[in-house]
Amino acid sequence: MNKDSTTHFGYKEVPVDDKERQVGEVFHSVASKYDLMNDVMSMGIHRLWKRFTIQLSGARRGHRILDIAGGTGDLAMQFSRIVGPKGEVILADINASMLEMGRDKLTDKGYLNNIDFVQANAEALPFEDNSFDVITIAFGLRNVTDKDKALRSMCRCLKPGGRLLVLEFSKPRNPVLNKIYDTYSFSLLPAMGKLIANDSESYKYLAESIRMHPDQETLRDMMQNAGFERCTYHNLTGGIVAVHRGIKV
Amino acid sequence: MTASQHWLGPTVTLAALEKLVNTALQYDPASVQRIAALDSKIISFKITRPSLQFYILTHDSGFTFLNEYEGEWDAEVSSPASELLKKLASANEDSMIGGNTQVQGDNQLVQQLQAIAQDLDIDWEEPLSHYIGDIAAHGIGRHSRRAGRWLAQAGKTLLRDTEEYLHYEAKLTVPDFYVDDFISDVDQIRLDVDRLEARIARLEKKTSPSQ
Repeated sequence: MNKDSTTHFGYKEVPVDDKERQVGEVFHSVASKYDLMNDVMSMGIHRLWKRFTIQLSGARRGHRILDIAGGTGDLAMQFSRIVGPKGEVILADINASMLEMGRDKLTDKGYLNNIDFVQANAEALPFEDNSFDVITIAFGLRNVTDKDKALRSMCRCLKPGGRLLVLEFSKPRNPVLNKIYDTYSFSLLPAMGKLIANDSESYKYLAESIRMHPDQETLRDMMQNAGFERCTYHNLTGGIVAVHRGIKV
Repeated sequence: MTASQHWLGPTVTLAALEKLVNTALQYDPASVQRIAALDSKIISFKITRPSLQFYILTHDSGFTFLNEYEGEWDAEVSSPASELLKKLASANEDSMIGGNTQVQGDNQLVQQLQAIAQDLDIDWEEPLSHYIGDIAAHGIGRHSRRAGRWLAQAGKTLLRDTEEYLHYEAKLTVPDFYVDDFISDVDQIRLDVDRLEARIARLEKKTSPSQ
């Protein structure tokens, strides 16, 4: 198989054209238990990581915000409150099942006035140039086939002065923590996936995709290459997760 | 410097506070309605002792607590933590202003929030009834309310008796109205002295040889 026409899907090499479908199958499979699994796997800490991301976003009343790979709407819900009735939040996800879960959850909770739902591919965002004050992508970039293309697409859609926030699993800085994290990811995580969602394979993919994701410095360089400036990152929980922030100047 | 290790301590504290407040508000729907009517406002809190800054955003299901907010706030309250808590719990509607507490911006908004805090009437029986049943929860609630009323009344009586003893029996302190009169007299004397000083200065100017 030609190396250029393949990409990684966890530790496996798959044709570029097929990754999107395979990632889609994983998320179709876990959609109904996504929130529960997030809480169990991270012991609830994912809520604090998302809170910190919102804190860095500089979101304020009247802003127009795009939450890519928004899944079940944790970030969109908070942003909806912050931007208020004069602002707008768009929750975008490539996966129809995840988008449906997010839309149902937010509608049930009464978030109707300033949130729109769009099924969209991060690599080719269907929005006008310079149209968002903030764009976020939380735990989504590692599943995108062409990350550079996606970052360029996000840069295009941001207004000058707008911020991109990428919250994603990363590389722990401490070797001891790294070892514990490896054991947790490859032994406990698939077992929990089997127990709660009856799907160990999807959670095995999750652990593998995290290892294949670029580390902190590489992602920062990718953001700079895509056109973002003043790119910084914050390690959270020892670097298990990092929030990258870039500004479109 | 493009990288930093972030300590989530302040984020955890505010998240816990937000959860506590909003959970309590679930059992007082009237207060939630009053908060919703405030229509998406931002109040900045600058706590001076201990040094801490945070923002509260009002919305139709309660409050969101934010560590940072880069936009414009509607009102800002600067106060030591102990004084702020005391003022929020006080029955006096005008008590938010004064002392070491300062309010900037929409003062009426801060007074509305204070009124909501003062009128907060959480129905503790409701969450309790999920665990021990309606009848037992009502019994506990009734006795707790009775005990609360008795304690409040006893506290008021004790405070009044202690005050009277210190003023009139032990004569260790003076009653409030004496202190108010004294302060008012001091203010009057200060104003009189200022006027006299101004007149003397004017006379000196008139009688000086250079004129």
